[in-house]
Amino acid sequence: MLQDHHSNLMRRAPALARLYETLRADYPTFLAAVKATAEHEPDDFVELGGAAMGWAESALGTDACQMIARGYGYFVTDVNRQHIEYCLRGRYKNKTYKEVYDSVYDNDSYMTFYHWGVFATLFLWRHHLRLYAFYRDSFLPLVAEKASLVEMGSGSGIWTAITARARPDCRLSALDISKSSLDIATRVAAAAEVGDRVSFTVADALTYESETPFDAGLSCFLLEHLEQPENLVANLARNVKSGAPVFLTAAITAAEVDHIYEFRNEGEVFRLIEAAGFRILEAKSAAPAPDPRFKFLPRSLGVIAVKKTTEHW
Amino acid sequence: MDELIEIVAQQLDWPAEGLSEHSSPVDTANWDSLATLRIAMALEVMHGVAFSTDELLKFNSIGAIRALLEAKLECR
Repeated sequence: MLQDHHSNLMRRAPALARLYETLRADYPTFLAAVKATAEHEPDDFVELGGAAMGWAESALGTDACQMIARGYGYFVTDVNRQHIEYCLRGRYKNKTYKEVYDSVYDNDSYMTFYHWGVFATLFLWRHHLRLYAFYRDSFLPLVAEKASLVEMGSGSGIWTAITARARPDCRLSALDISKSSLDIATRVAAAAEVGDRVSFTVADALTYESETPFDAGLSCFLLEHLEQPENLVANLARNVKSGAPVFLTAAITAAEVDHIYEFRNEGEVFRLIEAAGFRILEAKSAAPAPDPRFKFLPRSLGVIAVKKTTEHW
Repeated sequence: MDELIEIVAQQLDWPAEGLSEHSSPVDTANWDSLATLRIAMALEVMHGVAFSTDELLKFNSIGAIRALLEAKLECR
């Protein structure tokens, strides 16, 4: 069964199959969840996982599978530990950016694994893949032809590459406060052969001001890392045109070592986005398989909204 | 019954008789990354030790866990 699965993967997405084999051989404790993702979302798993692992192999060379597998292992182990502690404690561990900076962001060796671990969750976690499908099927068609997009907090650049590959008519401005993140994102964009349509800038998403407003915007996996997430949404609103579609994600009762702002439910995110001048069009909340032993169910929420042109719309 | 195998069986909700030194996440039902962490945390409480993330990534079989645990206990 496992062999059949691997042979099929090898045929459809060889780079992803190599990661799968690395996980099986060296990090087998993570295989069950990845196998479940592959079985439940086979087409999206192969589509995104195959593409993303191809980019990673181009960016990292022969060490890619080990780097991604190890980074994923580090990341998931930390997530599991944080979630168990969160369910006992009842609140996130860190409440300020400084606490997270001192314990996580200032640790270069940890951050290298962290970046690639987060990168891999988008195609190895079933509920993240469902957000990806929502983004591809419901948000990208809303983006006007030849649009300019701003991405606030591009991280490892996987959303940047996905967007630029899916919309070859568009140009992206991706910004991140971390130069090391942008270095990785630049390599991923080059590997995805979209570097000529993406500009990367070291900038604070909370204060960035574009000379010209953008036609559309996105910010993924960032809100929960901020002390005051409303400032990010407000600045996104300032940097896009009226009527511009935007895509935002938020983690809800999902403890990770660098999650600061604890959204307790989807409604809190909706209110925050609407308060910044957007009208919500559509949303998708996705969760891993519920585990009744835990107090909290972690979810990832994707929201599509437009910047209002009038008081109501 | 071996103490380590009992702990693993308890955390996996799996009969201890079906486990051996060679049992691993690849061939044992219910053994996922969360179960690995629960096994580690049970051992940490029982023996007063702490496993690093690097060590947890080597929890690839009951035999491997035993070797890591014994090395830790010898260093105390």
